[in-house]
Formats: sequence, structure tokens, C-alpha cells
Amino acid sequence: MAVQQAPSQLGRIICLFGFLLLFHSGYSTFEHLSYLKAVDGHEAGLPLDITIELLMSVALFGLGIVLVADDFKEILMETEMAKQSIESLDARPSFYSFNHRGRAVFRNVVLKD
Amino acid sequence: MSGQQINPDDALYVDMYIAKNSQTMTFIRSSYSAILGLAAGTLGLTNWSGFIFYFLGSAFLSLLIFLVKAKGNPSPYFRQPLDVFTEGVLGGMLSYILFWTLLYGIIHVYD
Amino acid sequence: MGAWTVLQERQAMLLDPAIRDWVLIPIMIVMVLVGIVRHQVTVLLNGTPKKADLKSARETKALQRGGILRAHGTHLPEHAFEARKTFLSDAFEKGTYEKDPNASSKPKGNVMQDPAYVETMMDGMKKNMMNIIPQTVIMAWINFFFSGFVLIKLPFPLTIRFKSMLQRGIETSDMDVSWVSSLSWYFLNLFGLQSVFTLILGSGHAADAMRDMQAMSTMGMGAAAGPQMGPTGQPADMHKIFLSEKENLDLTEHEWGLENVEMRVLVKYGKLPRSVLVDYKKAKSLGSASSQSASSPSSASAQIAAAASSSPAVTAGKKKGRRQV
Repeated sequence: MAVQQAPSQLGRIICLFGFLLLFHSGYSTFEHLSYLKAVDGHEAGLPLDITIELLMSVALFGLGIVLVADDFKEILMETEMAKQSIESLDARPSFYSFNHRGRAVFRNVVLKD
Repeated sequence: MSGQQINPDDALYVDMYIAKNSQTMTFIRSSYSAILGLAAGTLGLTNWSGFIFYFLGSAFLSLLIFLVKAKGNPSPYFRQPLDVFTEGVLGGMLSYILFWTLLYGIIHVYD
Repeated sequence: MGAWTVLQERQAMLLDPAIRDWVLIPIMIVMVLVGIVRHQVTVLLNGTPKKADLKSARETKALQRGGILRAHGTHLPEHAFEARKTFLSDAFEKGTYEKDPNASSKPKGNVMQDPAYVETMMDGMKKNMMNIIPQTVIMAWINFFFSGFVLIKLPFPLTIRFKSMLQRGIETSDMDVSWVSSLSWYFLNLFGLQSVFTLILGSGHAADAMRDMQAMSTMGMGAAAGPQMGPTGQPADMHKIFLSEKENLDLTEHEWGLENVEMRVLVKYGKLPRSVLVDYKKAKSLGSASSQSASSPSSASAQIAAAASSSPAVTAGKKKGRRQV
């Protein structure tokens, strides 16, 4: 009954991109701090471009993950029932009758090959 | 009137779909909390600013879910539409703290 | 707040990166891998789901049948309800649905010999073992190899109470509670990796903490194929359960969902005033109070018909309804 939905390719790419951006900004931070320690500078907060890159990567990853995740399914039973035909629900094979008017009505029907 | 009546709400919802939606929400929130943790650690946030960052990020994610996944109308998908904004937030906090601590330690504490 | 930050600045320590390479990351990797292995081992141990036994299934379903009859008896007319009620009461008393008619006469001493019961116990024990053993082993490993030094600084402050727990092995009195030992890193991982496991292994993974708590509270309860366990841990006496269900059934009075339906339909579509329903209820309670028999809908309806026809508003309404029809 549960059909596996093909994960959105665009979403995956965006997720990957966001994660790579995050990794890159993380590594830049690390390098920046090492540089500061090497030249005995004071840590005056992260440089602005790294911060912006970080926030962008977080936003991008959020967008990507929301696209990658499965769609929500409607929970009302009515909508689910609307997709099913009465023939699958109300079948009752024991009550099928074959001795009916169809024999006369469809007698001259020729089936196409 | 007879005492026991058929409750029309008994078969109102497809339970499997409710569970599936909840599972999807948990998936989105937990993976995003991990990424938020990584970002917070990289930024070097401490104390309150860290937790505020988490809640801001979760709010941003709720907005994204609301717009993209629920297409602006969460009621066909959840029993209480406001659940979209609150479900899974506290559960993600633990992994947020883990990754926050991890990155904070790696980048800011170690030599 | 000012003193707090000053304290923190004073305690800006630098840690050896070797700790990061050889403790921090390895502990995390080990925990992730152990979690995955534990999940796979649990799946292997559980094997294929057991096939339910016919007699046990029949037993539980018969019990449920009594409950369903009580809950949904309004759908049946009275004769059908009474027929089922007498049949089920009889069957419960005679014990026709019980799996083992001589169970109550067996001595309860050698409970260990019952193979189904033993299997149930083994299942519960296996689950618990799979959760406890890795935790204990990893904790012992960490305590043995990685104790006595500061591992990492938590980005958030904690109260003094946590100091003894988080800094076990580092006997300093002045250091910030945020500087913690490896064991606290283990605990942090334990809780934080739950959601990571859910992401990797799907929602039914064996490392779920919620499942642990549930498993501890329901220890010993078997699957559908196992025998029922009472709260004392002994196999529940099915005969007693059947008897209590029979009593419940005997106590149930039949209320028919279609009783008085004509009046209800008319009231619903506005052909009769709502007061007739109130009158009906009053008459019915009077009728059942005066006559001692439990089922007297016929007499009650006769009285109500008399009451209804005598009330002028009702007759006017009924006439009106008939005219419009």
C-alpha cells in the first residue's frame, strides 16, 4: 500500500551542497583560528564572510532536507476512501451472479484482437 | 436515545498515515538538529546564544516545512495543525547538544 | 553574570589535539559502530516471527468476542443479543475455548518446565541482555582507558551538582563544571546518537532508548503465542478470566440502537417536537421502575404509545407528518 516515493534529486543536490558549504566554512574557521594562534592575535569573533557562509549553508541544508523528505500523506479516511472504487470494497465474491441479462445483451459483441 | 452509539470519529483518520507523517517530521527535525549543532559549534556559540540559535533554527525549519511540505495548509496532514511547529523539537535538542559540543570542542578548544 | 564570564576567561585551557584524535572521535565512532552491530545482532537473534498457536489464538479471540458483544450490542436486535449472550456465558463457564482444560488443576510449582513460558522469558531476557551488555562493556572500557583527564569543554554552563558526576576522576575543586571527563562524553553520545541511529537504521532499531524503558516495564510479557502472564508473574488462570468475563457479560443489559427510532427520525427532521423524547425517557424509566423485569421494551413502548397519543402536541405533529407524506 505504501508506495516509495522517488527522493527528489534537486533536494539531494541541495542537501549535499549545503553540507559541503558547512564543511568548508568549518574548515575555514579552523584555519582562521590556527592562523590567529600562530600570529598570537586576539580572537575577535569569526570573520563576517565565514559567518555568512555558515548561515547560508544551514539555510540551504534546511531547504534540501525538506525537499528530500517524503511527502506528507493526508490523514482523513475520506480522502483515502475516495481513491478506492466501490468494486474493490463491496466485492462479496460469493454473491456474484452469472445467470443474468448480460448473456442476451452482449451476445453479438465481437472482441477486437 | 440508546446508551452506546457509534462514534463517528473512530474511523475518521488513517492511523498509518498519521504515523508516517510523524516519522517524516522526526526525520526532518533530527537531521536538521544535527546540522544546526555542527553550525553552532563552528560559530563558537556558548550558553544562551547556543540554545537561542537552536530555537531560531527550528523556527526556520518549521517555516520551511509549513511552506514547502504542507503547502501552506497543515490541516489535511496533522490532527492539530499547530503540531507542525512543535513536534520533534525537544527530541532534536539532544543531538543538537551532542554535535554542538563536538564541533565546539574540535574547533575552539583544541590546539 | 560578569563574574561568571571572568571565571570562564581565566579558565581558557588548551588541550592537546592528540586527545581529540585518539579519544573524542574514537569514542564516538565506537559507539556508532556498536549500535549498528547491536541492531544487526538483535535482528539475527529474533529470527523469524513465531507462528501463533491455534488454540491460544482461539482462546484470546473468544475472550475478545465477549468484549465486543458487550461494546457493540446495540447493533443487534434483542433476540440475537440474548442468544449470543447465553451461548458465550455457557461456553465460558464450561471452558470450551480454553487452551488447556486441566490447567487449573495442574500444580503451579513447576512453572519452569512449561516450554512456552520458558521461551517467553528467554525473549525478554535476550532483549535486555542486548541492551545492557554493550553499555556495560563500553563504560568499563572508557573507565579503564580514558579516565583521569579532561576531555572537552561543554559549551553551556551547569550547576555545581553535576561536578562530581561529570568530572569523575579529576579531583579539582576549582575547575569549571563545563570541563568534563570522557565518561560524560559517553553519556552525551548515548543520548545524542539516538536520533542518528533512527536516521541510519530506520525507526525499528534496537538501540531505541524509549524501547528500553518500555521493555523494562513489560518484562516477561510474551507475544501472542506465549501464555498469558498475570501481574504476579505466574501463568494467568484462564478459567478465572473467562469466569469474570462471563460475569461481565451477564451484567450487560441489551440496549437496542434502533429502539424508538421512528420517534427519533421524526424529531430529527423536525416533524415532532423534542419534548417527546424527554417524555419517552421519563415513561421508560417509570416503566422499568414499576415492572421488575429487566427487559420490558414492549410494555414500555405500549406505555409510551399511550402517553404519546394522549399528548395533543404529539398527535398534532404526527397528523401533520402524515399529511405531508
